[in-house]
Amino acid sequence: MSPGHKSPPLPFPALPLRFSRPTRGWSARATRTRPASRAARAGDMSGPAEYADYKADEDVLYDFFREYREENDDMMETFKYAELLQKVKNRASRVVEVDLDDINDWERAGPELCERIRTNARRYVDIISRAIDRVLLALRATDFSRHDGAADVMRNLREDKRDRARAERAANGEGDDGAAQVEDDEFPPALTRRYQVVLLAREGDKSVPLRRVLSAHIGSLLTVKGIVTRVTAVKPQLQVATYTCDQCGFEVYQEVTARNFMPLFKCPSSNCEHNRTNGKLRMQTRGSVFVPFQEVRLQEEADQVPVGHIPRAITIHAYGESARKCSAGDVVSVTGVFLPVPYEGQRGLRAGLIADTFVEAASITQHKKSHTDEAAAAEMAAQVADIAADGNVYEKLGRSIAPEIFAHDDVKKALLLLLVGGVTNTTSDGMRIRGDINVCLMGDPGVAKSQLLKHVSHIAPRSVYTTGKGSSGVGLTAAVTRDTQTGEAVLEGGALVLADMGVCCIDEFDKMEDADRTAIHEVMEQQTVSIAKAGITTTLNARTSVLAAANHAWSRYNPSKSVSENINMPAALLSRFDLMWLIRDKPDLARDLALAEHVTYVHRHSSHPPMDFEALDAKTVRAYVCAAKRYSPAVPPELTEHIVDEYVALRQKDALDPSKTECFTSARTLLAILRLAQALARLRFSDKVGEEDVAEARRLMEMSKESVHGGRDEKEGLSAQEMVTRVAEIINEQMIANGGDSIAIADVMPQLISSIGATAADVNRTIDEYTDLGVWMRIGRDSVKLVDPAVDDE
Amino acid sequence: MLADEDALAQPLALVDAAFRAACDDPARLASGHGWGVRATIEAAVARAGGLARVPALDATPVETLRPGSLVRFQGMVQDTWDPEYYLGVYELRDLATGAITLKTGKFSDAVDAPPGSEVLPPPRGPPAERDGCRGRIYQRTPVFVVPTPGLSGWAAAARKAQCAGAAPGPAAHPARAKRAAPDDAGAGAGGRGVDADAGGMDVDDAAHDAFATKRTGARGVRGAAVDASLHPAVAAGFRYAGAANGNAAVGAGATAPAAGAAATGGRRTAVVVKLYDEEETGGVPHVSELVEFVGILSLERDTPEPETIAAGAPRGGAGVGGGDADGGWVDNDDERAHRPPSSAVPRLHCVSWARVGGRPNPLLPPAADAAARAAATAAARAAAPALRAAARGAFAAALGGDELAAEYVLLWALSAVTARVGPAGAQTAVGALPLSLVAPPPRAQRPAAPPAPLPSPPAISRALAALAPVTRHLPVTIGALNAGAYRPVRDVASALLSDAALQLPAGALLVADERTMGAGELSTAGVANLRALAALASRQTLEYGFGPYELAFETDVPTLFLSQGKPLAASAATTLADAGPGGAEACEVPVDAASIGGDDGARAPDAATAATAAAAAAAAAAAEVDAAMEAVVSRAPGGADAVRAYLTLAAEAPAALGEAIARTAQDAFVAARQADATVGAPTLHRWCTLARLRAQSELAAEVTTEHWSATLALEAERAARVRARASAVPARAGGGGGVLV
Repeated sequence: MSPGHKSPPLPFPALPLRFSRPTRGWSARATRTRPASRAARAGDMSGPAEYADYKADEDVLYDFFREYREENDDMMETFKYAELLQKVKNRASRVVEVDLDDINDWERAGPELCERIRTNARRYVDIISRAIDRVLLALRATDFSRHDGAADVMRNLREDKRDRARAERAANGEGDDGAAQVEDDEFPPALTRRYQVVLLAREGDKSVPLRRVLSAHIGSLLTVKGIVTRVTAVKPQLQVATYTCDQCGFEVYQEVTARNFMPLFKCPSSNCEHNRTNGKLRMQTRGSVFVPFQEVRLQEEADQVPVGHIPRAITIHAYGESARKCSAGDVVSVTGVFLPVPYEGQRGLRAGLIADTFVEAASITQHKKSHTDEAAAAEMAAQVADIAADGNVYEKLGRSIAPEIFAHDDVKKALLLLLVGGVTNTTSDGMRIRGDINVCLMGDPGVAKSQLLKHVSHIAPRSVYTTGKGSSGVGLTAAVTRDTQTGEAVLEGGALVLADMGVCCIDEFDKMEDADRTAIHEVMEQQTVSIAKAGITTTLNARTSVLAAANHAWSRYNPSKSVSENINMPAALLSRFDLMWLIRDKPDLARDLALAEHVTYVHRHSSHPPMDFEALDAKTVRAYVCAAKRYSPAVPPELTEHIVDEYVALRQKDALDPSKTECFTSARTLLAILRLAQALARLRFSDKVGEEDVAEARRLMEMSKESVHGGRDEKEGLSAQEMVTRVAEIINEQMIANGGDSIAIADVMPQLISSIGATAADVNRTIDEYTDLGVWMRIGRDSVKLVDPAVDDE
Repeated sequence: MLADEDALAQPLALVDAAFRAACDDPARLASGHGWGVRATIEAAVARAGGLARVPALDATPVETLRPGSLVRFQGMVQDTWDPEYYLGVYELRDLATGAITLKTGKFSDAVDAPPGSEVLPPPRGPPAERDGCRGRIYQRTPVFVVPTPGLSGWAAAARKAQCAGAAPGPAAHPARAKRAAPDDAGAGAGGRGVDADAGGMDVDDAAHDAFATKRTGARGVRGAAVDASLHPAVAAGFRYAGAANGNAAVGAGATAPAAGAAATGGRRTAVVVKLYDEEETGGVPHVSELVEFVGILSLERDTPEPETIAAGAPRGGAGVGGGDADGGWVDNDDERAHRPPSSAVPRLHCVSWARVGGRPNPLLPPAADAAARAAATAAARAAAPALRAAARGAFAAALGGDELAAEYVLLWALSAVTARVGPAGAQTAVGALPLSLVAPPPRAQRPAAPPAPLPSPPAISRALAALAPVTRHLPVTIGALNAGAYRPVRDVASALLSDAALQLPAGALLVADERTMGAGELSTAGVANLRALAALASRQTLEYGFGPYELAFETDVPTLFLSQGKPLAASAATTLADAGPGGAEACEVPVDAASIGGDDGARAPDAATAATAAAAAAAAAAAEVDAAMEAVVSRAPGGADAVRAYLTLAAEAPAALGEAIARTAQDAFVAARQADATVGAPTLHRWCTLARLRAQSELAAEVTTEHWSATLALEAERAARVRARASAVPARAGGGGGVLV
């Protein structure tokens, strides 16, 4: 139905009104909504027979809109709705948002009215509109800067005409029964209203899970959340049909509140009646009122669907301001009224007793991220605090990453640090130094690289998992594509852009497309993607941590070749990884036996064996990581000097040792260590990088280099017993050096980490063992004291 | 109170009585629950002699059933639709007297308005808005149920025999019976009409063909007239389901070739089941579950053809009709999809339902009856060695006498997922044993030579169909992958789940036949299909597409790959990295080309005559193999039925892995790994699975040392074959597979 229709051939089906929603003829008084007998029977109804006093409620709401006050941010009292309506009067706004909380809180309205509105929302929108109309009538426009549109010109003309007709009638002496006449020639409100009422659900009203929307909800306001699967084109929906009589020129209005309506044919004007001219009505689209209308299909979100069930969907009708609010694929919350429409006419016969249902949207809000995560974060706060208080966070969280995967403790720790990340710095001249940590896992096939990647992408609050080959044509970075419909160039982000501010897990990194390979250099250091294609020149942010997994060019890692040869990647790209890890699958009696025990356990008990530690679930780890990310630890000046000295020393050493070309220490290495140290400090919820953080960062760096160059065959440093011995030696040395018989663990920890790569667990074990032997004793939580043999003897 | 027999014939009278009782209680009337319909009807059924007295819609021609009577239906839940909101209570006004009576719309599809009365409009809005109208809107959940896909002929026959006890009432529908006749003729005339011709061995193939190409011709189960009024998606699902019984009814026992069709009266229909009172009846069944529903059959009673309505059927006052009510606004598609005419898809208003549970074998007492099943297991255990030998012998006969492959196929047929471990999204299905029978790649052939016809389905598929209740033979070719739909996807417009080849009930045996895989290019859809097949085999999950996201549904469908050369689908799990971790690699058993009916690459110059001759020879050979299989099975104590029951029972009773055996296994693994670094965790998983299946195949409760050593011997023999094959066949890039794009 285009608005330009000249003589409309009544495009609406002639339908019985029996099944459609009440269609009120205004001047025409065409129909009654219900058989008169209905009202008479009202007494015998069962169920809640209480009729709300709508008129009284309207009066209350009238006062509410004029008098409701609330404090704004500046502690000033404002008339919230009165000001809003002034804006409407000034034509600066088209929406009146009515917050049910406000009605609930207003002493004269109270929860009962609020509940009545909630359960009977559609009727009350009408009542609220009437109250607002009354308020607006009393208001004067204070701003005339906005000019009249076509609708206003038409309205003025109509009002003029009506007033003239009234004056004429008065002159003719028909004014005596004027009361009825005035009723008769008022315009339907929808014709003159310039605003739309939007009900906002109360803050405390949780959204109803789509699956739990039941017939009991019919008629009430509810909020549902889901993912949009389908939207129709926005079409004009007739709100007020205007007809003109071809004989007397009388204008008739018909308000349409349903999808279908019965058009009027016969002119009801007194003129035609008197003259018996039988005027025919013609609908004129220009004088009618249309609102945008859109149908939206909302589907349950994936995480809401119970196992083994099919996701539910619901139809949303969006009128006016709520149309065009979403497109397919969006996650939205819709507040609206759940309504039935019985099938009509022929459809009704075929469908039998079935009614279609839909939610008439009042407001549609888009969600950037899944709701559950947001809600979860608040719940988890207490748990996060517990973990932090418990201490030993680094170990615990590290092991909780992919707890099913055997060993690889250091790799997991590295992944934890990747999740936490360092601090991104922006220098005064605008240059960014990235804080995101990039890690590359290499290794023999079948060593759970992909599993680790999947786990990380599962834990990360924001992540994209992809393969180097990239399943879409966009690749990893971005691409410019042409819209087939409009021919416009459209920028489409690839995985790295989508993972902005998150983690991008790239499996099969070695099999990357050439175009991506060149672009990824920029992504991994500058963290942007630059596009200069098809007339589009732009830079997209790609502030992501890259976690890559690569296979060898040959079936097994060849230790005699360099890393870049082994995985067929240029060294320039590899240097952008803060940590490289080579995971190898070598037979090892103890580990194989453990693995075998694990597998047989699974077959015997149909579950994973209980772990010797309590793994935290992904949700908890995620919450902790989010909490840790809020800290921005800085490197204190005294530590800076130390680091610089060590760095210079390392450079000297490298320069003297020509064999070590592969692990050449560069400025990137230094930055990597700082980033790792910052991540470690974040894990401690500290704002200051400590010496032990730097030491652990260096240890990880060393371990990763060890793994790549395979210098030592034994896994991850010393065996457990050797470690205990070495830790004990160092602690003893330190005690002697300090000249006392006790020492705080914290004092000796940095040295333990840097010299032998001991972990807190190792130290604890050592202390336990030596305490059992009666050599040491613990003092408090974090000191040990040498047991005086002399005392023992006595 | 009605006589109990009458209660079965007219359960709606009981519903009405329950409704009248509920009328006195506003709370019950408001919610629509708690009327006690289920209990009343169940009691009436029990008094009338139990469920056996209730006719089964899946085993009886629908024409012989009375609309409005109580019936049973056993099938697989293919889809759950969005809830329907219907007039639970409506007011009926007598036009003459103006008297108003209350009626209920529960358990029925149409208003019950005698001439001279009219239905008052339904209520809108909340109670305060209803102006005294006592009508109520309730909701119910429609579920689309298809006859068990891949049901073997013998199983269908057994089900039919089992349900014979219930005498269906006289067909109260002469019109229906009349209409049915031309349908039958039509199907027959249609040549390969799906139900008319279940005789040939290629029926399954034909069925698959119908499914793969989505032929929209007038080949519907119920003839063209009905098909035209169906939404294509429903028509497809339902045509497919109708075709499903075409699974070759071959092999042993008394099952005549056409038994599949004959057993069900030549017709198997999908049903829309409407679930009421979910709290009382136990929620909504999951998709792809096998469920037996008991409910009230609803067939279109007096629905005039649409034309007659338009011409002005006298219906109430204000003149219904006249113009298209839809006005192009409402999505007509949706309605056509979700409300197919009940003449094509009968509706069942469900009173109660129960999961079939376990593996659906009609020869055995229902899984719910644990004591009876245990007794059957005990009986089978006594004869276990003989039954095992018979089953294995049948498989060996089908595999050209390859005993090793037969042993693996037997163990595979018993495999089931016993547990899922690991984090969500990367779970490992413990107990799954994807198996791959690999023949050497066909010898180089001239490109112009047309592919020789391979016996399809191969003997092994026929053997499985003859012994297992639910099987599917799935030819995997480049064309089938590109054109087919292996995984269910929800259509955006109609909101219907498409029917998919891989949507099978738990315990179904899937044979993916890659023997004729040629070179070619896979489309995006083809890759998706291949990936779905790989994920099903290795991880036992099937991803359903729901527009913006996909959901992985757990399945338990043992998968057997047949291939010449490197199996494509079996290795797809590792090739297509997105298939992700947690999957098990297929256990590869090298066999001779002849074992799986593979072609040896020899081509006569005159391809056409050669093909004809080959086809004739193949048919003869197939008959010979079938006879051999039948002979082996019939020698077993108790005959074929005992072997069939044995296979089901053995698959259902997982054997435990004791501590001592576990230690033996650990030592064996560590030793093997010292010798060969490629031995990894998957190897040990496979050994454990095989050992447990080995014990299961003897109906033993626990794995013994003998089982373990037999398993290792089996694996050693297989490994030797793999090594021999590797040295004999030079590695060829790409194998016999297609090119991935």
